[in-house]
Amino acid sequence: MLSGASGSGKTTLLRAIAGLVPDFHGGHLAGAIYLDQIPLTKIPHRQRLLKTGIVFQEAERQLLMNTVEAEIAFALENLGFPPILIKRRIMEVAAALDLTDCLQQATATLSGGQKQKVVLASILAWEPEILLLDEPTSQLDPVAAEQILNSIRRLNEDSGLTVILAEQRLERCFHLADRVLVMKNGAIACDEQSFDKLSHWAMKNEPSCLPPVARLFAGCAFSKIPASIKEGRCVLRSLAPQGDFSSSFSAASPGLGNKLDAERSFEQPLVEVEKIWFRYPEGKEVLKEISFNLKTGDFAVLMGPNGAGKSTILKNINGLLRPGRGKIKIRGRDSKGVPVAELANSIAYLSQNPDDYLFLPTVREEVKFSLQHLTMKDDIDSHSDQVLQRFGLCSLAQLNPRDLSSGERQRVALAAVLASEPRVLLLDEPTRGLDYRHKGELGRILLEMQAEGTAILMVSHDVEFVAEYAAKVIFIADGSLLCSGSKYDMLSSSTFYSPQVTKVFRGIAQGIVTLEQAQELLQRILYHRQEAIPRLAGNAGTGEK
Amino acid sequence: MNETMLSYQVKDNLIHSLHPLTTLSYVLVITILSLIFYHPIYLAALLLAVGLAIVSAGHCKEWSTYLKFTVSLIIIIAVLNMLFSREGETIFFSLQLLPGMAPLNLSLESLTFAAGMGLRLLVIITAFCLYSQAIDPDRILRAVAGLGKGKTVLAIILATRLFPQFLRDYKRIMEISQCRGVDPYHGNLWQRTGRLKPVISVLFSSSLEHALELAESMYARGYGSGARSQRQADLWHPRDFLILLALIIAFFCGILAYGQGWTAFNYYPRLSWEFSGSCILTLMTLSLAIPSVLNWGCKRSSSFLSKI
Repeated sequence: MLSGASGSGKTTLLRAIAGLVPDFHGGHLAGAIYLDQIPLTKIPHRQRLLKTGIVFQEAERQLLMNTVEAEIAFALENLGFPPILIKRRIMEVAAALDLTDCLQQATATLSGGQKQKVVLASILAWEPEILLLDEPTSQLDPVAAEQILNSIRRLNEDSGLTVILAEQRLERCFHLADRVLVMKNGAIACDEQSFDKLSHWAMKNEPSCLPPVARLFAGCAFSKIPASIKEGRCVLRSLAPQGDFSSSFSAASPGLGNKLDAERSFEQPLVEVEKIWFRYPEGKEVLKEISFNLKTGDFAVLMGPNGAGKSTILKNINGLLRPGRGKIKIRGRDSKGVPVAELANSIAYLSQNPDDYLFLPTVREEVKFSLQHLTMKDDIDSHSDQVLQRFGLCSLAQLNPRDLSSGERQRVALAAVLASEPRVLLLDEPTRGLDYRHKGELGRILLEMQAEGTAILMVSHDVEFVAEYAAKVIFIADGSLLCSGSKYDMLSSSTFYSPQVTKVFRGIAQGIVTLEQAQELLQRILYHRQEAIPRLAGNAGTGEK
Repeated sequence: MNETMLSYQVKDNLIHSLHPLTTLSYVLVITILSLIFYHPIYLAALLLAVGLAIVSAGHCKEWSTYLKFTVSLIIIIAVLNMLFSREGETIFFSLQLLPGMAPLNLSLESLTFAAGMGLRLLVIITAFCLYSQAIDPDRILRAVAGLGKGKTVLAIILATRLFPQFLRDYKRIMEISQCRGVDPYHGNLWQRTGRLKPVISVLFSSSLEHALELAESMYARGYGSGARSQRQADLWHPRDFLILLALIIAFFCGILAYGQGWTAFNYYPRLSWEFSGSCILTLMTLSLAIPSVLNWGCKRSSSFLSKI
């Protein structure tokens, strides 16, 4: 597995192994890459392809053909496989990835997870010896991501396929890796097969390259660091064999949240979604009787599978889509008939692709553009300086936003939409492609805004981020609201939509959602154990007497 | 414009079951003939034939969207032609805008010429509608790649394949523009055009990025790495040969009519025209209507399709 911050060179390394750098992208390659002890540059393009296959981050942008079968066959035809073999390979790979039923389906109609599977199938069909994967699950919900990673794991174990995986969401795949390479500023900073050594190195140098479960134990100075949840639970069971520590744990705050909710029950909501229904033209119902409120300082997250209707809810709130039935009130006023540009004064919306917001030559101009169009401020220059400072963009103010890294572009887009100081912020998958450090920065900014009274509604598949920063979770499935409540209630009772620390403490303590909570409880358990050992030793001594 | 208007849709009928090169030949014959014909009756005959093919293939709704779009283009052509053409002699309206400047003349000839060219545009856009709706891009790509021909054809196929993506991007960026307080639908034409600047800027950047990503994906999957194979060549059926024969007849009828000067129509300086070659025109139209007739036969009898 390749780990490391955004811009550390993971994707470029994968492309170099696949021969795309410098063959396709240009540039200069010093040194050499060997495949079976032969320099890559001396292997013809087709032979190289037969050895390595690469899957990129966005499945949507790699699909070329109209149907699933044609998409899988495309590479096989390009590589000159005989027709009989092409048919056999399609049949086999479709069965392996559970795509048999949708071979004749149009690729445009597939879900995000299915599209990623199709791209994977189109590469696996020619049976490369090395599979290169560049963040293959970044756009997927936890269940779809789990399916993809399980398929990859099976191929690795059963067929001996070598897999090189670059991933930001470490919690999803860290435990699958036999070897981890950490990249920093274009170089390999650490190359370890021993998980313990890697964890201790990471805690000293780069804690963000460890998943939460490893950070939990490494943070409490364990010598042996568990890589998976199962291992972590075994360690905890050995420390606390007889069970439930929930009562001894003080940091869980659902009670506090409930108290605040009770105090705020008479407060006028900023956003009221009242039994809304929505259907796209010529489509089925996407939203079915959705109702919820957002009050000042709320930080809620919409979670659920791909295609559940989460993004559609955001677009209904900011007026890009209008509900067929039901009402949406913004600060008590029905938003029906209010133009999107007018609603934008009080509702900021950041879509999945921050690049769509960036079109001006400098970062400063991007921020000023929003101020000019959304607010009536006289002193736009000084206000834009304040915004730049707040988002840590002063040093980048004169740069072209499209030349920045993904995390920086995300921050510029966020600064641009928040420059007008909206009361409500809608975010659609804001952590996609961000590393842990950038996620931390985003989380800090969102918490600051929440403290200032901005209501935040976010769509996310990033369970770990939600667990750390959000307050409420709303589960949506098939266009309906399944349940909603505090993150402690929602995430600790879910199988797939729960963070690693919750899973590790399952059966030992309830309501553990954040890493801080988990560390506090772990230290408490260790403290109890240290107290108990002399007592036990003393009892044993008395008995002997 | 909507996405379905430019994307292939699977339908169970004879026109969709044709070999992609047959349908492509049909579209090409219609397009070539429409470019050499000037006579509105001959152009109308082409429109009738290709319109029947679209209706029988079940794409009335998409065609109506194309028609709306084309009518607005025809109006622009008529207005521009009226403003800049001064060759017509039958003037029924004249306006002196500024002293010393040539008067603005609206002539019967310029109006008729605009209508004739509009009709030609309608035929070409209708033929394109048939191409985009009834030819599976996968099959045409495979057929063309099988012929071993070129990059230009590949570029055209990819461009038509990517139109829906382009429209999706346009829609998304317009939405974001509104979310940043810019209402692209408000104000006069000049103001609205000015507000489109950021949209176009982002659209071009993202289209280039998307094109690069797609090209990389194709390269990484071996496109252009050497000789290609085909998993399954599209089969030629008797119906393909029947329609190709009809197309040859129609094409020669059209060339004959063109050679005889029957398709000519003098718009300027005065309208002068005559209609001849009705038998050839009828034969051409009937030949071009063969796909629609066969499709109608398939709808009437379920076993007919398997026989041809």
